[in-house]
Amino acid sequence: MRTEGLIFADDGLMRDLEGDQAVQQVANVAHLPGIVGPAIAMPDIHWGYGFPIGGVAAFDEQEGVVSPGGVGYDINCGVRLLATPLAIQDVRPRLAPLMDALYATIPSGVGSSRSDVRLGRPDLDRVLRDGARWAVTHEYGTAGDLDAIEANGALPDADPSCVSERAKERGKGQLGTVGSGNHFVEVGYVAERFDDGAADRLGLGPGTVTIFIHSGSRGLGYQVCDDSLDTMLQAAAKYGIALPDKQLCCAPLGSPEAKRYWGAMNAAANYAFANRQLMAHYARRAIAKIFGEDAAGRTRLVYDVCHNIAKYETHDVGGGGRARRLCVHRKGATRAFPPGHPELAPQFRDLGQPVLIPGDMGRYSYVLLGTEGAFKETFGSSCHGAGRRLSRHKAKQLARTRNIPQELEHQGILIRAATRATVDEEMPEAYKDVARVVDVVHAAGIGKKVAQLKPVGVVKG
Amino acid sequence: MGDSPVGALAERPIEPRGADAAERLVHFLGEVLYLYDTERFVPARAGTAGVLGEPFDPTRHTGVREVKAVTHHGAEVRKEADELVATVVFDV
Repeated sequence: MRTEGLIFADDGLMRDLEGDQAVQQVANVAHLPGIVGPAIAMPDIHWGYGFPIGGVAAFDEQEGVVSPGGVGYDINCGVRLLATPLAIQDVRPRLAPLMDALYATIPSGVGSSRSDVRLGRPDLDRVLRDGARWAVTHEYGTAGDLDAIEANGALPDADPSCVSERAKERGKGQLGTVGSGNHFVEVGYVAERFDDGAADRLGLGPGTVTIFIHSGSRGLGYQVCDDSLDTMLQAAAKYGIALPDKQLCCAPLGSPEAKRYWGAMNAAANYAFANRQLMAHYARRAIAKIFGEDAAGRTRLVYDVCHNIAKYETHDVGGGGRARRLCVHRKGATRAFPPGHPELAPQFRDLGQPVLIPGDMGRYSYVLLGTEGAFKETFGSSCHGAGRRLSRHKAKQLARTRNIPQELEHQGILIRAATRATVDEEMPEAYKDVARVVDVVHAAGIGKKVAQLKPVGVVKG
Repeated sequence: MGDSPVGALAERPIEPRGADAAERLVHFLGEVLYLYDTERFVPARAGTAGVLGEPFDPTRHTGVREVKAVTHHGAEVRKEADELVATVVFDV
């Protein structure tokens, strides 16, 4: 190993990790050339393909590598949070029609596509180049939304020509759809506030109704990752990079292989930004249908973050005051920049970057802010969610004698899902308690709690 | 597709590729996934030169779970007694 591994966890989470291959995966990442600082894992750590989920690894721009496994298959899988002007007591009487409207307007589930968004190849290339900006130009949302998206919703290194025809074929019909598995659109409300001032600034008043959207780059991103793996395996051999696990395949930054993946990865990330921008537009349409145009017009974007991405960022390594440009991989981890960071839009500059942490569909989710502590210890990174604790198979077994949608309805949570199987596999007990994950992050100073949101309605694929 | 029956009515050719049986299997399944995602061609079983199946028919087929990727994670083909047993992890 070239460096240490650093896992953020409490005693209970560490005990759960005993014997889990995720820990070995952290150690494997520490073997990669040019790694700067430790191989890091967040408290929602879970085994993944090569890199663990919940992993952060930064590489020197001259000596380091880029690895698709450190980004993830679902490039720019991420989360977006909308805050409506509505209060939960006003929404509850009309919750069922709101959930029906969301389910109707945002396709979810196996093979979902939109008939109202038809992209020819030139349009798709523009989406890949311009991300959320393309969407705003086509009147999905407003220009003000872009300030509240990581990287303003458009990564400049995107190169649509690096994305294969196969990836474009897979992605062209899926823009504006949620997907399935652990992706969702969730209606909730602000249940608890830990920092009143910050919560007010973000539009998260007590009882405010919110909409969480969790989705990524759909089939296009998956194909970009898949396309890159053979090339990266060959590149690792070509450049003499020893891999403790084939799935850590990588290429030196600056090599032709790395540049090609970089262009494609950034393009896929832009697709995901556009995807979430479209879904937010349709969520606002659903609000308009049930609560009127004024409510829709005043539904604001709190923030949109990536949790599967690699970025070039400037960090002061070792506190020596010398800025270094690093390639930071975050897979199942969220950027969490501190107050004062120049990349944050003016409305966030004194607050810090909002960090959105979705939990399971039965309990709660959290909004945090980025901190100086994160910038010093984790290259400005925080956790991304709860992490699974039961396999899908086990969850299905447990659900066999139960009626999960009905159980949730008794708790006041309405489910709209394309298939019962997905709901069963996504049952709340299948996930770790995100409150514990967030408490570790807060206690470690790599994120600051602002508000807790509770779910009242979930659309799942 | 869960329990919904899928007929082996047409064959789509798939070129074998990979250094060993596990890699060839992952490649094969990846091609099957691509055919489903882009043409809605539902696989029934492997054929002699590719995959046998039929176009998706919403009156007979119910998509139960979306396969997002066929991964190389732990991919293995091994002999057990007279049978070949394969392990493949799908990302769902």
